[in-house]
This record gives sequence, C-alpha cells and structure tokens, in this order.
Amino acid sequence: MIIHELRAPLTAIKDSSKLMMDTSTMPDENRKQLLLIVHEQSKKMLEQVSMLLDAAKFDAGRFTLEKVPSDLKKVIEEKIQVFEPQAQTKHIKLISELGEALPQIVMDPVRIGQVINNLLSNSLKFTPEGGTITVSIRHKTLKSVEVTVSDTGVGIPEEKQSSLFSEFYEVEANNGNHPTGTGLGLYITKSIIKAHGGTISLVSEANKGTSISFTLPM
Amino acid sequence: MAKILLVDDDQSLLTIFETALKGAGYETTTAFDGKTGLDKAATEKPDLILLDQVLPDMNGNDVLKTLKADPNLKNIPVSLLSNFGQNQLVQDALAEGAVDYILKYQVEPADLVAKAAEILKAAAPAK
Repeated sequence: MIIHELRAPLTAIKDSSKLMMDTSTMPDENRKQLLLIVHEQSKKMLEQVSMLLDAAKFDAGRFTLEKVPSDLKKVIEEKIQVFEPQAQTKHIKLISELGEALPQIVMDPVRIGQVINNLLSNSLKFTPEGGTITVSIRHKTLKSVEVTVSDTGVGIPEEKQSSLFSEFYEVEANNGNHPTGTGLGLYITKSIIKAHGGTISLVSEANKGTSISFTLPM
Repeated sequence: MAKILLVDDDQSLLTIFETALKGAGYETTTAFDGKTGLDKAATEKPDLILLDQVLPDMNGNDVLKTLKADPNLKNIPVSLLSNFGQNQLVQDALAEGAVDYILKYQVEPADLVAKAAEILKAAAPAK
C-alpha cells in the first residue's frame, strides 16, 4: 500500500503537468484546476515522505524531540480547526471537551500536533456521515494528563487491535476492501508518545466506534 | 461522440482523465464509488467504462463482475484503470471479461485517450 500511496500523487502530478504541456489552447480555468492538483498532490507526497523519514529515524533510534513548555489545549484547538471543514463536508460533528486551562506541559508541540493530526485524520476516515468525533483532555493522575480522540466510526475488530500500532499495519477501509494509507501513522504516533514518556491505549468495538487515548507527563 | 464512464474515488485523477478525454471530444460521466458506478452504467449506458480497482465500497473486479452478470450491461466494454497491478488482480479482471487492465502510472493522458479510441473501435459493430 505504501507504494500506492506514493504512486497515486506522483501519477496525478505527472499527468497534470503533461496535459498542460500538451494542450496549448487550454482555458485558464482548466489550467488553474490542474495547477491546483499539482500543488495539492505535491503537498501530499511531502507528507508521505516525511512520515517515511520519521519511521526510519524511529527505527534507527535517531528520533529527537524539541521539548519546550507548551500549551496543550492550544495545540489541540488549532488541529481541530484544521479538520473542521472536512468534518462539515462529511456532516460529522467535531466536539472538543478540553476543560479548564492547563499548566504548561514540557513537550514537543509540533510532534504532539502531529499525533492529534494522525488521530483526527483516522477518525474522519473511518467515521461515516452523521457521526461524531470528540477530543477531550482530563487529568489522569496528579502528574499526567490524558487526551482522548473518540469516534462513532466503523470500529476495529478485536483480532486486529493488538497489531494496530505496528509499523506498516493498515486496517481495511470498509467492506474488507484494500487498506488505504501508508500504515505508518499510528506507529509514529505511538513512537512520539513513548518518546515523551507517555502511554497510548485503544478501546474499540466493530460498528460502534474507537477511542484512542494517550498520556503525557506534566 | 462516445460516452465514457469513469469510476474512481481519486478526484484529482478524475479531473485529469476527464480533461484529456473531453479534449479529445468524448462525453464523460463520473462516479466516486462502485455503487454509483453501477447505477450510472444502468441509467446512462456509456459506451466504455474505465474502472479503478480500489474504491471506497468495493473492488473494481467486483463492480466488473456485477456489470458482466447484468444482461443489459454486459456488452459495455470495461477496462480497469488502476495503480494496483498485482498479477492476480489483472488475471481475475481479464477472466471476468475486462478488455484491458491499464496501469495509471504507466500511461500519460494522451495514451489513455488512444487506448479509449482503440477499445471503442474494437467494440463497434462491424459494418
């Protein structure tokens, strides 16, 4: 699947640019559409390559965090805003239950943002129209917070749950169809949380939904 | 001019293929998933179907099987158009009656237009 995830955007970039080169009399509107495709698919390729590089660094034990005192609520709120338009298009309710202000947490805000991004992206992918995704924060212990992303999506069969955070493992999109994605998102998510000294856990039931929670030390 | 139904959940590639085929004078219609593809095949009776393998609701080969099992639709030529080219998928598609299995990453838009013309010519009733 990882080959497909790299081939698909490259095919789109290749074909868009060739069409523009070969068609001298193309209307501006069509040309703009094709240029937008080149731009968006290039961004997609960059993301995929970045994930591959991250996974390689984790595997080689060479991944480093840039930890600074950070506002966890703000990081999460910003990511929720990014996903709002997509959620609205799919008529999915995106709810935040982030509680009161938290003290600053020493963490890598870019990498924790990446974790929230991965979890929200998965929830959106696997939650049908009309569903709900909730992001919440709570104090787990006096010295740790727990962030949970829950959805009312298709859920994950029990026999597949233990492999979910493995490298290159992909869950089928639906109806047993070919998996989509690189299979690296949750592996990288788990690696980032572990590198912070946190834990990650999953509760899921087929056709009911999934909750993925991670903790961060305060 | 002939009508071509494109079934693919990748909006970017659909835009590219439609631009190329319309530029060559074909009429096009699109579907993002297998069920919509089957519905459009039945209602719009295209002259050719270009069908992706990985769709949100079913495999392209399953869509193909359903088309070939329908007496009203079985004579519409269908070619798979996919980045998935594993031997088994290709063999199964051809066994189910696909006229071709085109790998997206191996063809350019002009090649796709040429392939469409070739398939439609071969499918046209002999004069």
